[in-house]
Amino acid sequence: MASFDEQRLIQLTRDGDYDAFNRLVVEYQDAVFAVVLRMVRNRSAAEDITQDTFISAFRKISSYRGAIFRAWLLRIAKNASLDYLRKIARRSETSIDEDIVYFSETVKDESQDPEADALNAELARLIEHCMDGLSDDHRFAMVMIDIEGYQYDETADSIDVSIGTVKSRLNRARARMRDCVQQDRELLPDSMRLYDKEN
Amino acid sequence: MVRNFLNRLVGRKDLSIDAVNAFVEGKASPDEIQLVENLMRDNTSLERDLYTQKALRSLLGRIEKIESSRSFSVTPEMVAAAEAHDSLLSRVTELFATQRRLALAPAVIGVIATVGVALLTIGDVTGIVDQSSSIPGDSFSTAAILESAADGSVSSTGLAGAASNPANADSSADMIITEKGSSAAAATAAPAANSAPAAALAPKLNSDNDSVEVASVIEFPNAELVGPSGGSDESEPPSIMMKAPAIDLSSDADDLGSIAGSLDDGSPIQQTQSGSTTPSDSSEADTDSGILSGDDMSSIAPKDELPYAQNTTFEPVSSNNGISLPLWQLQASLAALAISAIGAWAGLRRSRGE
Repeated sequence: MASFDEQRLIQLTRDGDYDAFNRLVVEYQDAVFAVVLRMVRNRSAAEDITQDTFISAFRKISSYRGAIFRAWLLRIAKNASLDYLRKIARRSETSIDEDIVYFSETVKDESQDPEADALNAELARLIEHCMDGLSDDHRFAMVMIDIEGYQYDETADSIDVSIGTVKSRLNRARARMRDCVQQDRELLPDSMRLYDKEN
Repeated sequence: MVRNFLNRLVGRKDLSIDAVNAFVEGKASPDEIQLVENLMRDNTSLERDLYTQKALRSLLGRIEKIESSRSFSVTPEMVAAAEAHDSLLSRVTELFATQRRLALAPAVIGVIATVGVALLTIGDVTGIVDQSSSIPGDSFSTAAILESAADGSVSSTGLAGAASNPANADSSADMIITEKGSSAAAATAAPAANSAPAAALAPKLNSDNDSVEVASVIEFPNAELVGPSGGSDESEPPSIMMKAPAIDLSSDADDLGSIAGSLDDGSPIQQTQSGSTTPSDSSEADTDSGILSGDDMSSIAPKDELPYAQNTTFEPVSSNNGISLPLWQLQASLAALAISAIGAWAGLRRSRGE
């Protein structure tokens, strides 16, 4: 039923119905914003990119071919994010923006233990650091599947590559993340340190 | 091959990426579990790697979900503002948006142009295609560059530079037979040679049907310059460039002096198909009057009275059998077309969000 509604809303959007499109926006804005924020790690930039993504989607709705709509939105968002990162990379060669407040991940923990909270904060920083070391393609695959929990087919649609390519990228991303986090073993959970001790 | 490379990258042997991913995600089928367990028995480090990845995935799953802090609803004003700031490229993109295949048109044009450049270059190098020279100095071609680079000699476009460059002055002597339009090349070469320790001899040869001008540049210290007399004809035979190897100029100084005197009197130079050249005497000048046609080329014989001429052989760089085209102009145009078409295609893809 949801799929039917989605297609109907898309059809109404093609006819220029803003209300119908904004119902789609409400449905998917969290998903788009989360992926964009994890790619650019700058909250204000992520908001701008997300807004531009939906404006662009509304204007290009005629080019939507009937695949997974969320994947189509994420594809636009991903390209906009990569454009932003390229622009930032060029600008950082000549200037340093000290005003940017970078987004920080947090790791869930129900223990209510201050010591555990501090350790989790360190762990989150380690994860961020290691994810920064990944290429954009690898990071996007890892964010989509391991963090946001998307399926391979939807991720493949979002990147416009085959499922096999997504699996390869994810495999390499996980291997590199594993190597990276192993450099700070004292921060790792027991489940990850166990095998180090054995060897 | 790629899979093997990936397996080597992570230190695994013949392990399916699908099976590894499924195992790490806890979604492996019994067959995949069996496959992974067999491999783990063979490689204990693999077992550690996979369980570490499993724990890492579990850790990544514990990362807090993100919710948007505000609404991203779209209003007509936002869309209007975005359209107002639309670039020209985006407007072109919209033209292609209705028909996806049309968006490939720039890519196809780019590929065709690239292939065209490649074919022209190959044809030029192999001699199938010749540069048609309709304006002075446009006889540039890849083949001529390669020839010059290999021999250390200069082509017709490099006449002035060769004559004025002492480094080139004693390396070789060039004889160039060009079509009508290239007379300016010889003309520009002559003054340059005059200022350098060299002489440029460029007698004009005319005929009733075919007319070519011969610009013979002989680098020699203290020699006298005899420039071309210009000239024009209706016919435009394909250009021919002939090159002579280095000659011992010091031993032939007297002979060259006599050549210069002979040419001052209007005597033409005769050439042979085999590539020898010599100034003719006055009687031959009366006979041929400096005419050098295609047929005449075969009848020109070397003269023994000029010792340097015996050592002067000429190699035709281009052949009359080739296809004559404005080669470098085509190459440059197609290359520019290819670059702009591929750039347009990439821009279209990006602005379409692909």
